[in-house]
Amino acid sequence: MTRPIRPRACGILLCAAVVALAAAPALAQGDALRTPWGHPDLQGMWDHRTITPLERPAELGDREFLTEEEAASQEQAVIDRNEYLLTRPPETTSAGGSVDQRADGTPGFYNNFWLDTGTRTVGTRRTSLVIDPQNGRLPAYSDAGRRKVERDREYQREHPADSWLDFDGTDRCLIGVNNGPPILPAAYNQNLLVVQNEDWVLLVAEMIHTVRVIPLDGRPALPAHMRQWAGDARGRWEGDTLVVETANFVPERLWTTANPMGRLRTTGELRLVERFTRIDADTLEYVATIDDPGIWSRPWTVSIPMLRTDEAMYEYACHEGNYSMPNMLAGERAREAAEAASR
Amino acid sequence: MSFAGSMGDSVTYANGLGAALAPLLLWLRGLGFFEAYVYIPLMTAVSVVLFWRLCGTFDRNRTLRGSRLSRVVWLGVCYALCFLAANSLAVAFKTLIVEELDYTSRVWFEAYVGPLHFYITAVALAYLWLIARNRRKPLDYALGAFVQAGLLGGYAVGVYRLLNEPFSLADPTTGISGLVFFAWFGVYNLDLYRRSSMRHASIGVPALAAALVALAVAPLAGQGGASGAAPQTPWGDPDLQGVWEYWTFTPLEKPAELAGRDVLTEEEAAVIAQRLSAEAVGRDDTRPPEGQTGGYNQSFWTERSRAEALTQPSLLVDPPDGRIPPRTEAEQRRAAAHRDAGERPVRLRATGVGSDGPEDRGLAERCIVGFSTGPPMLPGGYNNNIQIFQAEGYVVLLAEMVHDVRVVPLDGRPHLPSGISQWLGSSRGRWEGNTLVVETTNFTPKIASFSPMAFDSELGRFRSMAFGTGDSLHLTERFTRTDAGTLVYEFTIDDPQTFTRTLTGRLPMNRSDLPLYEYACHEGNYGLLNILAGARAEEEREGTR
Repeated sequence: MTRPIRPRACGILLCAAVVALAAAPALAQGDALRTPWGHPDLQGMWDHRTITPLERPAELGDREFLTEEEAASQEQAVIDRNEYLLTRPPETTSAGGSVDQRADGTPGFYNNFWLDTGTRTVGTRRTSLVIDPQNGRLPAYSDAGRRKVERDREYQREHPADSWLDFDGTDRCLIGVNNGPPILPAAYNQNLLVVQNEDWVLLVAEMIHTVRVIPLDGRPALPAHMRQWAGDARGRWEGDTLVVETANFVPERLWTTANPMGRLRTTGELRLVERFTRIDADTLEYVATIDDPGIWSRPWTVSIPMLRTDEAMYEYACHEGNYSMPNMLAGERAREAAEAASR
Repeated sequence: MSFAGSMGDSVTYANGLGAALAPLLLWLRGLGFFEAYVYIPLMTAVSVVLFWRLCGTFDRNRTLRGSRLSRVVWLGVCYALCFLAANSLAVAFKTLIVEELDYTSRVWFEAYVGPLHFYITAVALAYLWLIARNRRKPLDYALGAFVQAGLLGGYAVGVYRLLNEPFSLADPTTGISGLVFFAWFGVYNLDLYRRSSMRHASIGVPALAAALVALAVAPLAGQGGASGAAPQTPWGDPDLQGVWEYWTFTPLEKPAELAGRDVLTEEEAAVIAQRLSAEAVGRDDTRPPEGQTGGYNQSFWTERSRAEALTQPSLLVDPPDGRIPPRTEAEQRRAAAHRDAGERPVRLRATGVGSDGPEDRGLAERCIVGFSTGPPMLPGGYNNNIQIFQAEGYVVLLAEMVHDVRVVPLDGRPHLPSGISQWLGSSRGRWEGNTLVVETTNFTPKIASFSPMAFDSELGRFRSMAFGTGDSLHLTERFTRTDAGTLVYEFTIDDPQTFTRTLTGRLPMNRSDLPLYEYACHEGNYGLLNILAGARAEEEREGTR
């Protein structure tokens, strides 16, 4: 009687083992950083403020990382400066003057209160957002790029404000100063809301309230003649990384960033590869490679760890009350008229 | 299942072995003839050898009995299993080596089970060996236990897939494969049970239990796919996703001649649409009245050449007369106060109250909100499309016009504090059965409570209207997918400061396969500039007179 029972017991054990084996991944699925369909969960609000500069300051030479003390002291310096600017005694001005007026007489810019560039260096303590080239600095212009940039700057000097077309995509309420794409920290409203499902990822940027709709189904890119300000993006998963490739940008997209790159008109050849990786519950690493051979001699890459935030995002009705544009144009017309009259 | 055919162009490697072998595999694939001339013949050869050996054993043990037909059928099934074994082995090796990118969501699962194809192959071969021997020997008990456990595992995979994968007829690798697992292992199970000498390896109670679980699960998982009326997202919400277009000639308000009618016949609707379309497009050939510039070309720019109308006589379905209800006395006084000078801030969507500055023009002309996107949405000149995206916890409504997006949280969070107002308000959503209900408040007072653009067949163009101010508006929108191609959109405007009663409109939207493109409204918005410049030129001319 004992012989036939043993295999049966063995069978039951095996059944239990198989069921356990099948159930284990189902339990592992409870992983909070994954969606129910198994993709990494990138959803939520992400804050991309940082005080780490785009390019490595020259005095740091080939140092890739700050020490913990250096990072802390840089952060403290920003906090102290913010505090000083916020609490400094008011300055009196005379009629027609401006506290924000710059030495050259131009009307100045947003004050420190408006800007919201954060107080933190990137968590990696890298000395620059640029991680490629190795020296942490933007690559040299390509030959065509140098000629183009010189040409564009000369035009800019001679025609600073002939028309709104001479202003950048942000002044014209077409693209955000800090979310292009690509995302590069600057100014204020530095938040990105990610909404995803199995077939789509939506990137809602606070600045300009633009949304990038990224299909994941491998559909072909738009035909080359269809050009968009935010380009035409296609996404896919590479392991746990969302890879977004974007092309079909409008040519001569005037792009200003708050960094040494300054104002540039990117070319229609611009291609962008962005990688989003959730490296822990509170960090979404953003790595973008910018390839525009019409400007730069080689592609370059930035890495920006975005931090999770629970703050809400509000509407950004960019063109509501955008009086600056008519005022800048009117100011330039007035200057021209004054010049003509004095001649 | 095909090894060569399913390998994507861009691959990641599961491990070092994969990285080492993948160039070879990709090179073979690149030769083009690999699948037709190497892979299929190789798999065929392996399976034929397996089958030949099996038939020999069957003969020796007289395993196959019964009528000739039943023997032929069983031999056919055995050959299929042999081919499957050969094929599964190849796929199993492939998943060990090369992960396809679109495979990532399942890779972790296969990594645990083994990969799955090895497992299926092992169970299938053990089953074949068992019936080929057809003898009760000590070894068969162990083999029987292995097959029994294997069948249970197959049911577990079936239950898992039914529970966790979307159920789509279009993609058989999803939930539907759960049913395939049941059928597949069920055939072994029944066959073993049928053979009295094999009953030790068949499954009794555990199989029944698994089948019961599956029965309980199947209707739940199959709900979406089976009915077709209400497809579901993987997390169980009704699936409203896609591009929906909402152009129609059906007027906002019920025309006087249709008073008392609630439903038109299809023919009546078609006649009305044809007439309005012909009238609108016909105006392209006439010059605008003296002193006017004219508007968009109707046949090319707008959607007026698409003669479509609904069988409902008006978009407004409540009040029952299909007309905008009377305004409150307070609202009439407010509107009358600036009837002559024009209401500022301008809350009309198009046209405006003057041309002194951009603020005198309509909100859509200023690229602040779209003329057809509301909220609530109503058909307008062109770009009458929205795209709906869903994620767990959010619905996103993307309007083509002005490329405006509303991200609607479904988690029951409160509305924004009353001090914060927005052009598109603050939207919160929830599900009521299969209906998505979106409630929106916190509209800025700078937008109207209701600012429809009604197609005026007398004028041959849309007429812009604006009622009340958005700060007292409570808007409720309902989206119900009534069939695969139709999304019924219903909105209710509740603003007791503006209207003496609520008003409700209904607008069925049609599924579209066309994509939305960027709408960079302010790019090349020369219209606004030219309107203002024209007014300045006119002033100058009058001044010099």
